[in-house]
Amino acid sequence: MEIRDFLIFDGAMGTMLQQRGLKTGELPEIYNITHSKTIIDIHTEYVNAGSHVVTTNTFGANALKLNGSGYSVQEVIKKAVENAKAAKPKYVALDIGPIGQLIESLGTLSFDEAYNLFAEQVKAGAEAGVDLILIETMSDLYEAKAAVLAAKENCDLPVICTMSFQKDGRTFTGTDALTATLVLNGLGVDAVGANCSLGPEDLMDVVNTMLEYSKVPVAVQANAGIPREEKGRTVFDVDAESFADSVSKMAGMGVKIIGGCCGTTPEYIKLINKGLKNIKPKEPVVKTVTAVCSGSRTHILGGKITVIGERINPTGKKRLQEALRSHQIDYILGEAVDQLNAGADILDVNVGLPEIDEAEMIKTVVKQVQSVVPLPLQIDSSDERAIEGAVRYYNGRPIINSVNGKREVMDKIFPIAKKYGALVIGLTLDEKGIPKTALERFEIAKRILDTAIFYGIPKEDILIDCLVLTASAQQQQVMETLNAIKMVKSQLGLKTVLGVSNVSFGLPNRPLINSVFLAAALSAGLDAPIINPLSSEIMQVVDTYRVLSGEDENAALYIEKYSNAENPKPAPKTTEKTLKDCILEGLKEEAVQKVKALLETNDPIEIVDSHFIPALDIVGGRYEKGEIFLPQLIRSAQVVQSAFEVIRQSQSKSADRTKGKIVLATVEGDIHDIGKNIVKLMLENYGFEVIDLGKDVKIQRVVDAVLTSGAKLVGLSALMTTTVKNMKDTISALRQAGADCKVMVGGAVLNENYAKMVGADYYAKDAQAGVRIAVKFFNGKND
Amino acid sequence: MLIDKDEVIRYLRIKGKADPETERLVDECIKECEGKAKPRYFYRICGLSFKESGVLVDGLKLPGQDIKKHLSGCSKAALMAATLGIEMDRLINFYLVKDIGRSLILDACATAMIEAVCDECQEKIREEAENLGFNITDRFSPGYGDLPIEIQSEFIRVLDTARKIGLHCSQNSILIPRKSVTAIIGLNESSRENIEESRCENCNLAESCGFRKDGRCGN
Repeated sequence: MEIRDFLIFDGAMGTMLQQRGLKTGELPEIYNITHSKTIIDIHTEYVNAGSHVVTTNTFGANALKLNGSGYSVQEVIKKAVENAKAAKPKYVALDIGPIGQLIESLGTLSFDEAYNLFAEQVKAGAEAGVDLILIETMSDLYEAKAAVLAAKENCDLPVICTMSFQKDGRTFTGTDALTATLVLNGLGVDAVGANCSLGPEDLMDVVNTMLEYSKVPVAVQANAGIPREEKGRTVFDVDAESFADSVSKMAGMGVKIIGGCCGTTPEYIKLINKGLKNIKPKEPVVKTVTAVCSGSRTHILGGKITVIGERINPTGKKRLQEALRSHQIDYILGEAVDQLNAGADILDVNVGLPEIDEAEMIKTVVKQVQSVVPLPLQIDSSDERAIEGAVRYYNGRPIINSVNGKREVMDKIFPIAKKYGALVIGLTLDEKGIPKTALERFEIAKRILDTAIFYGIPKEDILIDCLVLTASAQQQQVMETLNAIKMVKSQLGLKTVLGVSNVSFGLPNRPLINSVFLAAALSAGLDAPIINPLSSEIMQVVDTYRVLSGEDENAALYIEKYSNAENPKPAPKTTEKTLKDCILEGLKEEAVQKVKALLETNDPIEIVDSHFIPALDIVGGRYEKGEIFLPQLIRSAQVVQSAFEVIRQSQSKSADRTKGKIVLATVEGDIHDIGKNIVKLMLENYGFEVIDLGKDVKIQRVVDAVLTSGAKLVGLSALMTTTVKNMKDTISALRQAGADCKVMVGGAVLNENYAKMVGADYYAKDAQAGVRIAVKFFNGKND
Repeated sequence: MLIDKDEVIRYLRIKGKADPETERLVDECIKECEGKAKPRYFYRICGLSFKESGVLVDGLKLPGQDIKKHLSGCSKAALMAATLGIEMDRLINFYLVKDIGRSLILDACATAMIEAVCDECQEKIREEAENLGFNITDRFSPGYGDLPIEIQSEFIRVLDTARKIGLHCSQNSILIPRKSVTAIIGLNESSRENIEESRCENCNLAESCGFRKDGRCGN
């Protein structure tokens, strides 16, 4: 959509309808059918005031909101478009507002469900003959993504997407203007913008940011100020004149698409129109950046070191492989959190293992990781199906790792990157392998760039990995890598990434080699090393280089981090206290040291049975007697958890002995899972194998997990009176499926009676009770 | 906004004094919670009419005898909604991964904080009511007594809370962000000062409530 002149939208519909008798709680969309003349009159008033585009009265016309209204989405939208057309505007825009429910994992609506709801609206609108799609008042970027995809995949019309920002410059779900602009641009919208929530003056900063970074036109439809309640009525403080003045100011800044939201009327549009007569549309100067985004954060590469955390990659990592095979997503989330805390800027996510369904797994992991960690992600796979699934369900603008100089690979991956607005890493290898010289690698990089541009991917979204081979085998090529980086940077102007640790493969004291090579690569211009941020040697290089390069101004961060390094904290005294004492007193570090020492002479099972469990029994007893309380009980449990992790790291899967399998889940519809997670922690400490299905778990998933795992005990939690029913249904489904298992239940709303009512075998009033039930149950089984 | 530390300790089911480490953590978490929360609230005072099956407040049907009792003698009512924002959900979820103990304490802090936000909102309502010559009743929320929690989605739709304060509701009537409250406050002209009923008796959770089992409900 090319816009040479200003495109003027209309003002509020809701405000106009309220003036004409719409009562609170009534669905305005139904007025299309019941009061079509009123709607046509309003549209006509706007057209007469100078609106080029009339927005259909369909803000909430989705199947969820219309449910129970007696009208279908198609009926409402068809009539709404007819009404809009009756006013004879230049263009009719199909209005699409938020669904009204939050998408996973904040809410319980799935991304696909959201997509389907939007797709239904888009199809109905396109069929009824609208000229463009307006997705507006979005506060959740993930929901906006679902809507934009639904629009682009179900019609060929131009798509505008505007979000609602609060005074802090973020939407209610935490998206800032820069992130919104980049992500929506990446998804290929025809215009991006802001609407609702604030008056035009309060939106200036947001609008400025959008103009600075958006390659497509910016649209603004502000409120007539922040709505206030006065004597039971909603009032707005910005009058038409000052609104129009602000709009003219925005037009002068480069905004091309203008309209009004809540509180604005035809009067406002008239004055806007008048104001714009004397202004020529301005082409804003747009900054070109290489930027990667999560839903709430943008990281711009260049001029600084970008640390890409490499730890979520099963290659050579037994513990992660085991976690992937047994679906222990929590372990992977732990790796994500650790890397965030260690200073990673972006996380690489690779879950490729021959025996798992990579496409399914990467989708799950991406959804889970993005729900916990605010860092942008790098989707690392060679399977195009996995890549497409991951970038589709990713909330933000990811990096795809990777393509290479092979034509076939580029032809598969670039269209995906283009569609979802992803950045792409190009590896400098092709059908003939990795070239020996810097020049040949540079030539492949150039070919990758040319092909990307052919596919419509902007140059700045291509990153090049010049690849390093191990110095132990291809010693003479190490410097070629550095030379290639220099050439790619200076001649192509592209940002570079590099997996650093390959260089030391097969050599002793790998951290040393890695550190020196990393320093050399940074000096050659490397922008984003892919490294292990948990390695202190590597991060020391990064921190030091940031001082030397001037990135860490006045060495402030360096000083903060290292000034105490010369007087290290005294090592924890390990002599006097026993492991039991450490557990009882909640001393994590000491307990970990103790277990490491014990492992040298003791069998892991022995440590669990003779140290962990007796100590936990004491803690549990004290808790039951009211001598200690939940925070202390958990603290001890967390100590054992850390100690247990030492054991898991030390042994292979085959040596793992479980005391019994237990499936845990927070039932469908319920999202309160702290209690369930406490139960899980304590059961695992007692040596049980817990299959944790998470929260809001569909009934069938529980049944499937129990049948496939053969678990004999199931724990279900629910915290709401409204979800206890799902607990009951889950238990019935288990019984009907003939699952040979007992069920224990817990959660704030339950008690002995309710537990019986829902058909459970046991009621656990708290996590400690859950442990007692499990111990008794499996001991009975073993006898 | 100040979080009442005693309330946090109470939500953690600690009787008497907390141990020093828990004390320290609670202090830390209160700070973190206050730093991350984005408390927002919204209310509207509207007319009401009593029906056989309940009360009608500004087009919102509030079924049940308990809400009728709560609003008896009232000629107006305030519908209010308050939330700490989605950042609080994120914060609690974040620690759930690596530090469940902290997650639990933050959850308790957030519960104490949303109560404080509701109190603030209630004060605003009281001021406005007094200007109109009214006294106000206590808060009454969906899920209390026989007022079904299922009205939650209609409640937030009528107040348009998604747009105004970012408050949503799931298909299972769970408010999201999780640390959120909706409530109804009655406005009456009588001189009787806030008829304080025992909230326990009206509470659907009375039978299974951990606090009552412990023999002391703060309300």
